[in-house]
Amino acid sequence: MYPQGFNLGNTTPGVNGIPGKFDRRGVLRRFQSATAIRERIMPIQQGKGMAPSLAGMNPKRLAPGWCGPPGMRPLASPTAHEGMRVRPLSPESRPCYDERMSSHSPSDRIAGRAFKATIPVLLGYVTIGFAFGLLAVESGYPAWLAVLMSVVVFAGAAQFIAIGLFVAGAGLPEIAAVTFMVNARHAAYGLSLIGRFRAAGKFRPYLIFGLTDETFALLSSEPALARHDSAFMLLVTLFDQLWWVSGTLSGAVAGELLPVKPAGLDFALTALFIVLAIEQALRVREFLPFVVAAAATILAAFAFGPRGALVAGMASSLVIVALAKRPGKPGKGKAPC
Amino acid sequence: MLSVQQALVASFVMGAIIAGLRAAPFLFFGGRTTPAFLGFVERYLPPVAMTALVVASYASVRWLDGPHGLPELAAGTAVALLHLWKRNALLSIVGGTALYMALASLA
Repeated sequence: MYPQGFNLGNTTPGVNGIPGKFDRRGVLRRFQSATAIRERIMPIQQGKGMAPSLAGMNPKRLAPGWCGPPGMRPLASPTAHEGMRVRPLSPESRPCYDERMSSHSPSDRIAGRAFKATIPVLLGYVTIGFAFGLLAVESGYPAWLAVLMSVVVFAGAAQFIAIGLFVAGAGLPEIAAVTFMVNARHAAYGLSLIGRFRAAGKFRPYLIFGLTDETFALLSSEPALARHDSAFMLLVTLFDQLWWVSGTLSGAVAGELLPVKPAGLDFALTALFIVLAIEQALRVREFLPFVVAAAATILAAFAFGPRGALVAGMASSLVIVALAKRPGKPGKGKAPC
Repeated sequence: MLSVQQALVASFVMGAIIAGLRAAPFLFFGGRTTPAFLGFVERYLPPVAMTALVVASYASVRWLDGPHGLPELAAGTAVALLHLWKRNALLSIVGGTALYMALASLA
């Protein structure tokens, strides 16, 4: 089973493998100063009841004020836990909160955190959005239509494919079917965010609308904040769509002015996925889901081509992992928070 | 080729389908999902999704001609190594992308 929050007591081996002791008030006593603590998020992942390992982190990486997503989080050395307050989390407490954020994150810093979290997506979205805007305009559609698609559709692969279908003169049923298949994976994304979105109130419809691959990736690797979590999630989603729409707009305008295409900048999105996969590997610490997903997606790419690889690979590997790790099995699978 | 009006209608239909897909778990599983099922999904969907996204973004590489995907493989390896070394996502992404752009312009 996975730890239910942190296990307290004098025999506690440490936080995330870092040797240390808690006193009765839940303060980790091993380390002396407490400078960096407020800059870091306590690595309890929402809904997971477990923390990614902090072992082997480099203190030099700890930039003050740095609050990115886990992938970007400056990784602390054991000294980053100096004086860290740790409170026991009841098994019923869901979602798990980042305790320190409750006292150290005024709402004006939430915007900065959200902005920094979305920087990798900015690089990818502006570039790919640019390419989309360019493609749409070069295919003979007005710039405003490209921008409108990025506002109302907000799904990268589907928009690219749609331009091809538009040019080919495809019928509405075909466009609808392809859209459904290409984006069917999105139907699974929300499952892991149901609990966290419940608190989002009036923002919830927009959070659901904007749940792209990248927004899902950021939100599902970012621990929930004790306060302003819905504002944070809203801003992450809004920023992501802003990057996508501005990329589209600039690409569409550029397509009408001069035909330039940046070579290779779109690799940023692949790089983002690699980084997030590594973060997941460090969080889950199991080979199986990665090996299965990689093998299944490679096979799917041969069977269905690049367009079908994502959907078929994801679906088949989820089924295989589910069979291998039946959630009911003791000691396997679930981690109630 | 669809007219602008037809493309506009199709865009709204696509938007509705995608929004419906994204909303599906909230509509169907909102209150009654078993915690065991949710726990499984929370734990295993992100790793599977990220791995599949990585592999799928390599699926469109042209392996058989040109540089045979070497720039993509080298840059991807650089991203992974940089990230395992420094664990700074921005550094990994910017470094790997810069390397890719350099390699792609050479190839």
